[in-house]
Amino acid sequence: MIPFRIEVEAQDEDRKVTVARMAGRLNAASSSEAKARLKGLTGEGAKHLLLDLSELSFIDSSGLSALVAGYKAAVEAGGSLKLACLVPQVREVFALTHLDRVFETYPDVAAALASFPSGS
Amino acid sequence: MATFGSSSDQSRRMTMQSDHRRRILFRAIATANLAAGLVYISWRYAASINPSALVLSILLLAAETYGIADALLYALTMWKPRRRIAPPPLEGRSVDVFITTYNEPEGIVRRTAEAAMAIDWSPLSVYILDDGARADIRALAEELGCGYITRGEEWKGRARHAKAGNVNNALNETDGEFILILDADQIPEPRILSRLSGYFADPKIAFVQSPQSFYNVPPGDPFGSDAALFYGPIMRGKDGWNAAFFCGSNALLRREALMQVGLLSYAEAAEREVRVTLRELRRQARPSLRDDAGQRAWKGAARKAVHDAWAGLRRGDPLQAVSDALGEALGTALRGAPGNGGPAKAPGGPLDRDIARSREAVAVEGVSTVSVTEDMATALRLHASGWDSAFHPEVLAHGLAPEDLGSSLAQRLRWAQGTIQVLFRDSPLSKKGLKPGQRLMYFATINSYFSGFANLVFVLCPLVFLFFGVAPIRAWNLDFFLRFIPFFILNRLMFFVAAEGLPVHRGEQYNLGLFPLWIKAVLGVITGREIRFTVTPKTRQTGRFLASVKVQIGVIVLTLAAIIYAVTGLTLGIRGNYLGIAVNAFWGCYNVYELAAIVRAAVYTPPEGWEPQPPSFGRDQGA
Repeated sequence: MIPFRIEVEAQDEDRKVTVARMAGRLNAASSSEAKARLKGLTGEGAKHLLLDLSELSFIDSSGLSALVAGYKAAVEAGGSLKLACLVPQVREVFALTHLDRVFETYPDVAAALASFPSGS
Repeated sequence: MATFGSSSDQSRRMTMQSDHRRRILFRAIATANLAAGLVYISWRYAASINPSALVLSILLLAAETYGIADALLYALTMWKPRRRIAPPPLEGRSVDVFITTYNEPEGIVRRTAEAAMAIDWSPLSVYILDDGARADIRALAEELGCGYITRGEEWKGRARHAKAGNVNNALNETDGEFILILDADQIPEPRILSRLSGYFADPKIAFVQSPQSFYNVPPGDPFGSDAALFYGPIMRGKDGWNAAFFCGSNALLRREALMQVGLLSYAEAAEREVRVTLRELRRQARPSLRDDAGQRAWKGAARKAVHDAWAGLRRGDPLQAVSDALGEALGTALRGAPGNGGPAKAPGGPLDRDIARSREAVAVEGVSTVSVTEDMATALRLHASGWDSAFHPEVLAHGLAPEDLGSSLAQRLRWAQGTIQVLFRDSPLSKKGLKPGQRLMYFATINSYFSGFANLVFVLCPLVFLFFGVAPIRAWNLDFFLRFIPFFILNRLMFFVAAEGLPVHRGEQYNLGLFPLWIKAVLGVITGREIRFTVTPKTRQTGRFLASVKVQIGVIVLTLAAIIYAVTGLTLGIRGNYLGIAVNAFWGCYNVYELAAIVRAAVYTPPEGWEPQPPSFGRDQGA
């Protein structure tokens, strides 16, 4: 079982987007860490956050609410947060909790990046 | 194990047999009662309305119809009760204990926290959720080595949502798989988790509620605090319909279930707020005769943008996409705007703050905040999402009931208003996902709080007749008695059998006697007067409470005066209708007797030397 990790993968200076990759299991036990890290990332001057969930193998409702909390922190810091590359299990609970009616998800990082406005 | 189990197996078998017999008896009596009720009420509708006192006639008939509907709901509640036996404990699963407190004295919180730390379970984390952020409670937590949680910065300037907010805040900061919620005064037994955890072997169970029991109820229960009927036959009945309620304390809940319904409600709330903002934007972009050409241009573009956003919502586009598209379109519109007069420039998605629920401290609320009775509203959400619940009938925690009438009334008013709020804000009658039986069980509880109006009519009718000779019914004659008496007897019998020998009379007295309170509760919710979450005092408040029962005193005095007046009139030969006066005098006396209990409670002081002792549990009592 892979423990939960979140790592910064790339920065898009033009669009002011930080791309972070989540891996492992995001559940009640790891949601506090996830929330703190997401909050930290929004506080580090990154205007927008893009989460690459391709290696996130499992998420539960506490994990999903950590993502919502991350989105809230990003918006309140004047930015945004988007999600890309959901694996089937994550996509399934996403739909089960109706979060798919709230958040737009992208099949890959490039498509998600393109959805952020260019900084010009 | 086999030798250990034999005697309890036998008593269990006997309980099951007597349950079975009682159920058959109850169903027979309830059916007879409803048949008699139907005969009576249809006769009342068809042949008994007094045309010379139409308003009073209709009021009484409506009140009686309510009474029969209420009895029907009660019969349904008790129709198929479920008596559960604790399944084997679910060893090794993590439990967080939340002790919720706001202003209770340190000594009360200490007893509960010490007992919580002594719960026989591992892994166990105990947290004191101190909404009062008090130094002595923080010191207590440090001394006992338990967690201490208060609201953080994010709550500043935002709605606090009382106990619901307190629990939601703690849900965010903890990670146990299950959560045991305890009010500050509810002292848990060491075995509480061994008894309650086993229910969660069923993955559909969201929570299990155990009874609230009070060790400080004075002799004779002057305030009607004893909850044995509710936490016995009534909850077993609701459990039979998979509608056991969550009652705020002494319940074990599954975190995943709470968070899941929290997410569902979040998605709903986000969309609701997006709609509010879209309506507001549409209003701002409405054309006006004073608009110049520039304003007309950007307003037109903005209206189109908002129109497209509505279309996106209807298509089921994610809110985030709707927000982005709206932001882009409005940005284009605003670039053509003359700098002022337009809506404030919103960078990014103009709906993002709605989607983020920025007005709330916590976006995903595991515990519902739609009502001041957060427990019922939360259970309703869980049931509507397809989760199951259980009622465990054994007392596993011991707490404090209000020790004076003022506190008792404040508590009842909150329950009543919160419950009625649920009807208006998240109605169990229309909420999607509930099964018909669950709808009925929620409605039965909510409906019971409307009894104030019926009881007002029941206390007014004898007054009006005794003073003015105006009857709400054509005649109290043989036709009436032949139908009323069997119904009345069967009705009393049904309630008696359902109570299983528990003392229920005090509860009935409070139900009738508190009619002004119930009416106030309903009107308060309908008129939208703000309801504050009042923390029920856990210590006796000094002072007498006659002012809180002035309506009851007034009714008693008037009824007695009316009886004397009518009887005098009868003896002097001024008035006839001996039977009518007898019936109404009897009816009035009954009302006086019931109301007197509340007046007595207002001036009640406990007997000299009566000092309730909190329970203590030896370590050996666990297992």
